[in-house]
Amino acid sequence: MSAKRKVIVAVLIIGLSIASWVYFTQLRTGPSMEKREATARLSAVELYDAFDTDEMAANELYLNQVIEVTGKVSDVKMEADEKAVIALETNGFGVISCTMQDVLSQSGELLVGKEMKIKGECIGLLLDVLLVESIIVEE
Amino acid sequence: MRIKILACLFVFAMMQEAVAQRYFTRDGEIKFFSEAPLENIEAKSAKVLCILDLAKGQVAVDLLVKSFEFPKKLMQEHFNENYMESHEFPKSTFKGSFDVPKALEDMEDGSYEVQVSGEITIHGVTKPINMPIELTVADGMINTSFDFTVKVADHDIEIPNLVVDNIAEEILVSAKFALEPYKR
Repeated sequence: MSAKRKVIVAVLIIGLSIASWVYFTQLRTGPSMEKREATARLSAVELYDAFDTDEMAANELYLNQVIEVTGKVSDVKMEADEKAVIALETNGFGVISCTMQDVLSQSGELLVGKEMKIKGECIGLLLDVLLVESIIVEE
Repeated sequence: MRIKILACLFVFAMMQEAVAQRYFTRDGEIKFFSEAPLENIEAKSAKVLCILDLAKGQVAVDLLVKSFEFPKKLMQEHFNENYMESHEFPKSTFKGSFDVPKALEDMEDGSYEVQVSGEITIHGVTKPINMPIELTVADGMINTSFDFTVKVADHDIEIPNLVVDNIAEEILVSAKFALEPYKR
């Protein structure tokens, strides 16, 4: 291989390496919720109790983790062009508030009172335990 | 016997009146806007907790940083991972106090301007903040909306030189709350 060709190949390899680094570290978004594995599976009651009893300990277990939560729907908020928010009942003052990844394909009223399994990323406790980027796993 | 029943009802009514001194919402809205040469950035959270205590003249606002939604998912990821470091500082909070006019304490319909002074904590750094806020009482609820600015550098939020033209040094924050009586 001539020296000139070697330089061109080296520049291409370095260029591709830099482009790959930029893409994977700066431009690529994380996987969708469908592709993410849950690190915990529990009921809405158990999840809320964990945060209500000891928020710091619950943060260690659940904060920024993907969780599958099962519970009874107490409320659904659906506004035009906004992501739906499904609330799951707990025994405490708050609820598990699940902001969905997308707009719901069905009427929220039909879901109230149903048992549901939802997967989402837990972002912590305010009055409610909040999940974001959520999807319905099972109705 | 009738006097005893009336006395009980009177005491019960007074208890209800005394109880409704705290107002809250779990669905408050905060937006922020960054104007910079290369692009404007806007994000919104509609899961903000606000509690207002008229008896004590205190207000508290809590939000989870990851509840902010951006038009571009990549921007949201960079916001959380690189700038706000929300894995380490998941919450932002505000606690303040103000003098409560008598008419406001009695929840008379009308608008009341109060001067709130307190502390705001963002990215783990607490700074004092003072601002006037208008509270509007109508039909037993309290509505308020107000704006203020936050200097990014004040809260140790580092903006890399590479993107300094993408993000403003001062961010405009807009808050909007519809507060209802707090019933435990």
